Amino acid sequence: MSTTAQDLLDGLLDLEEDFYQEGYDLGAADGAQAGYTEGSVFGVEKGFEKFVELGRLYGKALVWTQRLADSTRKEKSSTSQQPESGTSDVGDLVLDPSTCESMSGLPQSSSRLAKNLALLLELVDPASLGMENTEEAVNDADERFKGAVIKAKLIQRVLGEREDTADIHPDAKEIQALGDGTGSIEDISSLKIRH
Amino acid sequence: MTSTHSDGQTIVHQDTLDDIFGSSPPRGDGIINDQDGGQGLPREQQQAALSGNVEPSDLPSLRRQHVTAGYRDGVAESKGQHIQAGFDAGYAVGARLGMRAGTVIGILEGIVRGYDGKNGTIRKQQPGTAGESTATTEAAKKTRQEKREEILRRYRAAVRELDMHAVFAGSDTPTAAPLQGDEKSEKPEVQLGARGDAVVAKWETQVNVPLWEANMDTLEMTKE
Repeated sequence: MSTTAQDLLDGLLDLEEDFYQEGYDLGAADGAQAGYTEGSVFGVEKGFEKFVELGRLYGKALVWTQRLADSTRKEKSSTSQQPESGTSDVGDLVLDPSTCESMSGLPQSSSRLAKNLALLLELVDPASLGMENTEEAVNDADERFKGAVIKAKLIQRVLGEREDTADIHPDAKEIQALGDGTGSIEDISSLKIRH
Repeated sequence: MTSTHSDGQTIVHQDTLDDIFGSSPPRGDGIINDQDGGQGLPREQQQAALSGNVEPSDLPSLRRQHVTAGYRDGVAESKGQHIQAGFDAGYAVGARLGMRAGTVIGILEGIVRGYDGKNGTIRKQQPGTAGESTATTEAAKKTRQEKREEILRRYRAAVRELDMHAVFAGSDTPTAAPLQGDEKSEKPEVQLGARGDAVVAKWETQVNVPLWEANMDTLEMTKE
């Protein structure tokens, strides 16, 4: 080791740099994985959150469509037997479209209802919804969701269905007990506000 | 550096590097013991230190210091570069599962609403059977109410099980609960996607989503 002080100093600085680089490479590899994982988990959550609501509207639209079709069919052939008492055994509960047979029929001759329903289905059709995180797809999904919410509200109003799920939500206690069921504002507020 | 008797080459050499190498391990000790931490010094070094010639080694701590600094910078820089790629990949997976889970919940919600008693419990009665219909209507009303209760139970179970955190926890399906050996090497969104799929698929079968969708197709065709 015949070396000058400068050489040794350089050697030391090189050594420090080597140490730094060693750590950097290690960190870069770990960081890449950590960053990707963090982003991925967050992305899964955000994607799910956004589309679960779109899916909900789509599912509801599927049921309404089925009910509308049943009603139309019933109207046309009023001689058909109603199968409700035969199939309404709770034991083997059927959750497929045939369950709509025993539901109340939809208001007839409402072409607006049919039109709104068709529009709603179009807005939330999973086949045409972009599910990538591109600006275009995200904006499109947001726009369509907004439109679908309005359409669903319109349909619910025509059908006299509740718009919220407060009464059937798993956490719902005895919300139905509030008021006399008319759902009018006066009814609920009179119970909550004590004059 | 403060030495005053710098009269020879060797001494000058030592003095110049005093503050840098003063803490270096004695020559010949090429092995850097990282775990040592400079505390429990080997006897050799202690003796050397006692002799006044060489001070205890700081190289492990020097190494640690620079490796740590490099590691921090490496993590910080590369993490930021990879978050977006992860998010994009995860978003698509989450979106697809969210859509499917939402569809199941929506169908169940729609069925519950269809059984809500409010707007006319039962479809308008057939004319001419007014006599016996009151009795059958009462009975039908009852089964109907029971049926609604059962559907409501399913709906509530679905909302609970298809909650985002429940879906990706994989706790609902025992097979997916523990991290599989090869699952670890998979990308996170793939793991989460597989877990979520197991939970959602179970519900899709229960409500028979394909049948609802197939009916929709035929309806749309006959519409206009």
